[in-house]
Amino acid sequence: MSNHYKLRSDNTAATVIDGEVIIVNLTSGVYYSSDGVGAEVWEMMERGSSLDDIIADIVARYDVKAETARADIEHLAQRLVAENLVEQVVQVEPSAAALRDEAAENKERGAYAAPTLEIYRDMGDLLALDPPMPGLRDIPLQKSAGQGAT
Amino acid sequence: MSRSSVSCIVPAFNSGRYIGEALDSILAQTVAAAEVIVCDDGSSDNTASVVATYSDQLKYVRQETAGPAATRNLGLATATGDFLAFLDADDLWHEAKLERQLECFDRRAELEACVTHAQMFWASDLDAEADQYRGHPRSQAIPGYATTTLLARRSVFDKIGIFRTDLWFSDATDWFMRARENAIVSEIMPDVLTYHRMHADNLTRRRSDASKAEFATLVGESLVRRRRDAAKVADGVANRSL
Repeated sequence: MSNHYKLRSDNTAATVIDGEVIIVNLTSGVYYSSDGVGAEVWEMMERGSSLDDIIADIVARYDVKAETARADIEHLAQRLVAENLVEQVVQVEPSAAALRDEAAENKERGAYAAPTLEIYRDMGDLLALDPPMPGLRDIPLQKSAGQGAT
Repeated sequence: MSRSSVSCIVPAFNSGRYIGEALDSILAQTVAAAEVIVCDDGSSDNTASVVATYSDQLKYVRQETAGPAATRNLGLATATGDFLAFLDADDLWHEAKLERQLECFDRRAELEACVTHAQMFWASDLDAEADQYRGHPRSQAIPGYATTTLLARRSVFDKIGIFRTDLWFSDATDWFMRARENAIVSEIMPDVLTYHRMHADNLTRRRSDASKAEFATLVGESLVRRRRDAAKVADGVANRSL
């Protein structure tokens, strides 16, 4: 049994640009960024990796002590939960994504920097109306004449 | 009050069901627009025939389907007014929308753009969804950084450019971010002067995943631009102090 995190994709929009993840809270318009290890942690969460597997992966590829990486990544996960960007789920069966990339472990380890989560509240008003409605569902095409509306 | 001329641009795509109500809300304005331009993005429904019933009160221009941003840009290229306003064909204006915004421009000569608050409302066939969002922040009055609330001097578009046609969902948000990055003098009115209809065919609903990805990308791009500009300023300060 291991801790997994599920992205709250109903209420967020996220993308990775040049190794930096940008996450927007669609209700508040607050947005976040995290680069380097932080972006990798996000992508592994998205693939369904457990926290233990994420930590093992980072330790295998970066020049960092296991306990340091664990403390940093657990802290990042707690902040992502606190900001309502991910939620913790307990998964009993090991996920397919838990299989580690063995080749990666033999490569030279990269320089490690503790992941941070930057918070931006400067555009909250501007982002409040036009973005996708959080949790909005597709309604199957039925009586409608068109495929969309401007 | 100044009587500067306002061009009102109505982008439409398969909007036959709602565009009559949108046009009625423009034509009922307490201060009339100098011109109303319907820009049809290649509709295949009865949009053209509905608009034809208003033919003596507006201009109708049509293009092959090219997306919402290209449709708004067609309106910009056609418009002749000093001020530009937009109303999506499925949304509505309060009858005093233009009057109250023009009063803001009268009070502040330096003002370049004005937006209002907006209120979502649900089409009558979506009562269940309306219930689902009751009490949600997005169903309250919302700061309306969207083209439907905007009244802007034409010169703003000369300064920061037109809408990006590579964006299919978030071209307006991108435009407002560029306006802020370029320190356009703007004001948001507390008044709710536009009404945004939620219905089965909202573009963002149709492809909500693609819409989200595009949205997050442009927020990231804006962040990168602002960091670059901040770095330039910092370099300038450092060079001066040498």
